[in-house]
Amino acid sequence: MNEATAPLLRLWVYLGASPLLWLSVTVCAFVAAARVQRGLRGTPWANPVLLSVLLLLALLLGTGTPYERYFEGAQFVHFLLGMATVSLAVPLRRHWDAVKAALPAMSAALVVGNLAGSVSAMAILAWFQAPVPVVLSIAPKSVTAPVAMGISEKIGGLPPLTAVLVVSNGIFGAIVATPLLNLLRLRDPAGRGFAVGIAAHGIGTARAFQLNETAGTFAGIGMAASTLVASVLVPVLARWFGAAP
Amino acid sequence: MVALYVAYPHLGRLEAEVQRVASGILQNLGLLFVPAGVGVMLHLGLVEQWWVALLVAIGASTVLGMAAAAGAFVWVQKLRGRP
Repeated sequence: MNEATAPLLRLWVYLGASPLLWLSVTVCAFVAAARVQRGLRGTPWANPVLLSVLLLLALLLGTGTPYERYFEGAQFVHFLLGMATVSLAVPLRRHWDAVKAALPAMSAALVVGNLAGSVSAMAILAWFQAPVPVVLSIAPKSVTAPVAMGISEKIGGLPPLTAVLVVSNGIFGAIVATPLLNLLRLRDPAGRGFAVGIAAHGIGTARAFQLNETAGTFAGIGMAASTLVASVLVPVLARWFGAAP
Repeated sequence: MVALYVAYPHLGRLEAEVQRVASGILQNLGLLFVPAGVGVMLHLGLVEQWWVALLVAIGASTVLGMAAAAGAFVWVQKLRGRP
């Protein structure tokens, strides 16, 4: 060990043992991924969540760091979840009139969207003859991760698998939202955002807020209301699925 | 959230500041999902075995769910005579 690198090594040993390392790496990876997306003129394909997950996976597998060690640090990101929920009050207040006017359309979209998403996902996995716990794990895939994991546990799914499916669903939803909704010729930012919030929870909402504040607000409401609808709907679907031969 | 909702119009000078912070947090919402996504490494075996089925199921159901929600939204808005 030479004189110059010794302090660096000590610093690394200190940082490596501290949960702050993986928290900082997570934030840096996300900032870098968001820059990449901006550099590519905001193309939805360069989704910052997807890019940072891939980067972190490579880092963790490359350095042989177990997920538990990573999560010790990264879990602090979850503190922001409360702040994000509170922050939704600001756009909600700014767009309240539009929200009030669209309430009936929103209720219809909530039920139809949740039903179509969960039933088709379960049917496809059942058709592939996936094991029952895997089929049940996908049922709550379009609601935000903590709620989805709770539902998954209740109905006999595998909560960590559900978390992965929720995130993949969100990333995919955020990527396809713009082209799909353009194809459907839905121009109203309220309807666009709401559909994205229902089908792609927080990751879709993040994408909607990047594009348009009205769309983001409706996506946030869609995401929040979806957790309520799914908590009631998914256990019923799971029971039906369990009763089917 | 309710407290901020009620207080927001009365913040006066602070309003712009609060709005800046709130929209900053909301525009970077994606960050919150990164740790859960990295959790894929806990289930690499299961994902490896079923990845085709999972990919098809996630892809098709997300498109269907989003299209169904958008369709229902537009349909009801039209029924009520709104653009």
